[in-house]
Amino acid sequence: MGLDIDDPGFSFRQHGGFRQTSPTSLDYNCIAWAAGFDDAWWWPDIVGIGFWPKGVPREQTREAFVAAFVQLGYNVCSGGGFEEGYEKVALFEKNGVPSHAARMVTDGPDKGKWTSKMGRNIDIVHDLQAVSGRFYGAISVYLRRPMITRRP
Amino acid sequence: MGNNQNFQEDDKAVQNALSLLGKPRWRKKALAALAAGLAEAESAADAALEDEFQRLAALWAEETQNLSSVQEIALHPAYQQIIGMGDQAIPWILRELQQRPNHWFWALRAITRENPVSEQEQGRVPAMINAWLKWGKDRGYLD
Repeated sequence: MGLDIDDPGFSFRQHGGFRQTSPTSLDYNCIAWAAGFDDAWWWPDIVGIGFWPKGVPREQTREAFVAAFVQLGYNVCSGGGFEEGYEKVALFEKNGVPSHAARMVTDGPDKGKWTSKMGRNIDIVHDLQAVSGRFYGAISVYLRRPMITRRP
Repeated sequence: MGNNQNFQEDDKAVQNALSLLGKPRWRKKALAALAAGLAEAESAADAALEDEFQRLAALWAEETQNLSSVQEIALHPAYQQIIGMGDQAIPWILRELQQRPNHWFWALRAITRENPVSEQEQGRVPAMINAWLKWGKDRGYLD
């Protein structure tokens, strides 16, 4: 496995490439990683394979994904720019269906960039638009919450 | 052309064996030859299907490695073809799960119509793998 900067499913070349920050893992996916967890594969599939927070509709809709993050203290916001004191998540949709989530890096040299878990592949740091394209589609929603917790 | 010739030779061998069935002296040997031929053909068909499983599994793994959606992963055409193989694919899937862990849970659920994973284990991939491998061992699919 691995990620190719020229993969036609993404836009890495046009948006500054990416930097790998973890080995591959099947233990968690992008939604879990954006939510701050690395111990479960989050997905509201119809047969109950993925983890999904209790009390949130188990359906592949924007509303259900937003509700999952609202349960974690996030609220929908207007943009993906860095705001001191807040952490942000961006949701992606492909053909109207949620496909991916990325989380803003809030400290260190990558502050203001974004971190994504790429399926069961690697974690990367990247410009937000770099993961848009055929695989994940485009950004659909931004969410933010006051910075209160430390990430795993 | 080569295949056609092989089929014709096989047909001839079967015809010979069948003609011998009518002769009491040769009946036992003819039946044994037919049974051996059938076993060989079955074994060749199994091996060909397992090769196809491996090809589909590799294609699916490659093309879904960046996906998070359980449904999109399971709806990949290669994965659907593997589900279509039915019971025969169960030991191959379990061996894959053991050797190259991946999202085989949907296929196992679809083929076996069973679910050894508890609600608390949903999404906890190592626990899900252990549950399915135990299921496979309990039913004799794995050593």
